[in-house]
Amino acid sequence: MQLPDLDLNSIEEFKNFSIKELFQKEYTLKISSEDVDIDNDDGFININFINGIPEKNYFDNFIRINTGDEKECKTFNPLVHLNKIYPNRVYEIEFLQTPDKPVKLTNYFTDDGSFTPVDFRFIVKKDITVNLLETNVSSREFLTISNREFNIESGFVNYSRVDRVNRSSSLIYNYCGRVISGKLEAVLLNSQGYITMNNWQINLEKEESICNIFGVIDLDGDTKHGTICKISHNSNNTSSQQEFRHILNGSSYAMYDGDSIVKNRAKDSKTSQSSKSIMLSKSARILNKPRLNIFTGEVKATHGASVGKLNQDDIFYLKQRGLKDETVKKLLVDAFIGDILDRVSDSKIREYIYDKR
Amino acid sequence: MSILEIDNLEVEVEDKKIIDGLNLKINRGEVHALMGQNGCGKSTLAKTITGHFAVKVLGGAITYKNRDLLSMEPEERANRGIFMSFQSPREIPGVNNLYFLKTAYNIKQEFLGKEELNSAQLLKKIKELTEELGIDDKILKRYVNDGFSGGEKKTNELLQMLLLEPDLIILDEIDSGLDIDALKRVGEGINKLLDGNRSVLIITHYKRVLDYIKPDVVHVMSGGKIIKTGDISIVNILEDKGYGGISNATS
Repeated sequence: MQLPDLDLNSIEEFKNFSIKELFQKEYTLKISSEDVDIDNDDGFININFINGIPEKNYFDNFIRINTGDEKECKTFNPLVHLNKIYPNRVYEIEFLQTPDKPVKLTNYFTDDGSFTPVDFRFIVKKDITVNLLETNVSSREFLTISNREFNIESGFVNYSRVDRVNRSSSLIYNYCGRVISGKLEAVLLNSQGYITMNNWQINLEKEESICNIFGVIDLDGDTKHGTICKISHNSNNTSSQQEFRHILNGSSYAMYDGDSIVKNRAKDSKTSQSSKSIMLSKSARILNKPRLNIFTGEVKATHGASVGKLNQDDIFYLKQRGLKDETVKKLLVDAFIGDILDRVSDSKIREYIYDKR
Repeated sequence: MSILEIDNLEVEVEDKKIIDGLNLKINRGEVHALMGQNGCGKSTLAKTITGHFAVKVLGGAITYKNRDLLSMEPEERANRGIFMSFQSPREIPGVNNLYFLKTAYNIKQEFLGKEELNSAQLLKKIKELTEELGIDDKILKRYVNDGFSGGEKKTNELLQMLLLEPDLIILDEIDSGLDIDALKRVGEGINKLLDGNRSVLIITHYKRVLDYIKPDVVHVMSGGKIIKTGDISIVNILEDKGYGGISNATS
């Protein structure tokens, strides 16, 4: 099976991040369950999907999983619609109450050379708080294009993602959705896989809606990552934050394209964008494009990007206390990303991320 | 027996020769003071001994514990017992001070082939030191020197020094940013380490630090070399007549 052609060059946001090579490769569509070693953790409510199929029927007091309808997610992003071509389903994960534990959603991929589309819609209603960790697990070389739609009405979602995948795998994630007087806060760690992409398009629809997206992108070799993050403020007194840290080694390439749109009806809103990058090699590259599109006068907005190296004086200070080069770099990189990873509010999820990164 | 021997050292920084034919010998257990005007090369000498990335050695030799020091990486020099208390210790947000101390201690133990301590043992050892020095152990929970006052930074340097038990201590203007009480506390801390086996090189502009850490030998540096060596009486000449008095006396 060959993935269809995408006219990526016609889309401004994709101009600087080509994923064409994925579309020149042969993949076998794989949407079927297999026997795998499931890694359930007692500290979590565990939900497992194997090649896009739920491991079992999940229904309890907290969560209901249904197959949902394909909805039109209004987006610039052609990849969101690509999965429609394939016979996959959208799984609706509806949170009925605040779960008593954090939820771990694990996607297993079992086959080399497989393409598996996996689409979820998260529904979180009034006063429900969900701490959700998503993780992709595979030792195989696979491609997934995964759509995640958030539908948050007066609820709170703390979403985190960390992957444990083969370094040749590619993961394209499309996050879209809306927040209606609730809060979506996401912390994503991308340090594995060959091409990884996170495309965000979130609409803040009612007063006091909040969306904060944080990311750590830690690349080496010839790996590539792109984050395209659009947040639209469609109502008064809404707030968004985009903050990313890149650590780039080898000949890796990263792109951050941030866009905060504050419409004229979104007075007294706040938005900020920040991208900070540390280049650990001469041939690593980064393209930063933080942008603000403000259509009203009463807004607090900031944006900025910085690119640099590890500070030589810091390195020397730590070496003068006997620490080896490798240890020094690890300490300084950990320090650089620590405040982002510490944004994960659930201690169990935070511990998991620190352990698996 | 010498711990450090510098022979005809020539060093440049950013294409400018800073040290030009410097000789110095420090024996085990001795405290040396190195004084000189701004820009004479005192701090460059400290950086050369510790292996700072900005210095380029053009000629000469440095022998430390009978080994060629200049062929060692900065971390090897540190693990073999050279400790520099920085004039302006780096602030490193995000690196926990206690974790840093534990890491540095155990890396040195490993280097020396000694037994590493576990977290509980190390915490006990570090807390004993903070109590002994009268340091608020909140300093351990903070990031390395991040937001510390001048006194706190120097105290943190002292804590690292006492934990790592170096053989050659280089104090680069330890008195800068310290009030008299803090200087006295730092001086007392350093004196605790002086067991007759450890050596100290104090780099300073002022006499006041030498009231707390008594030097056996005083050197005056000018134009990238040591122009006078003697006892504490040199300091009194400097106090009375300034560096001009020493230059005149030498010439």
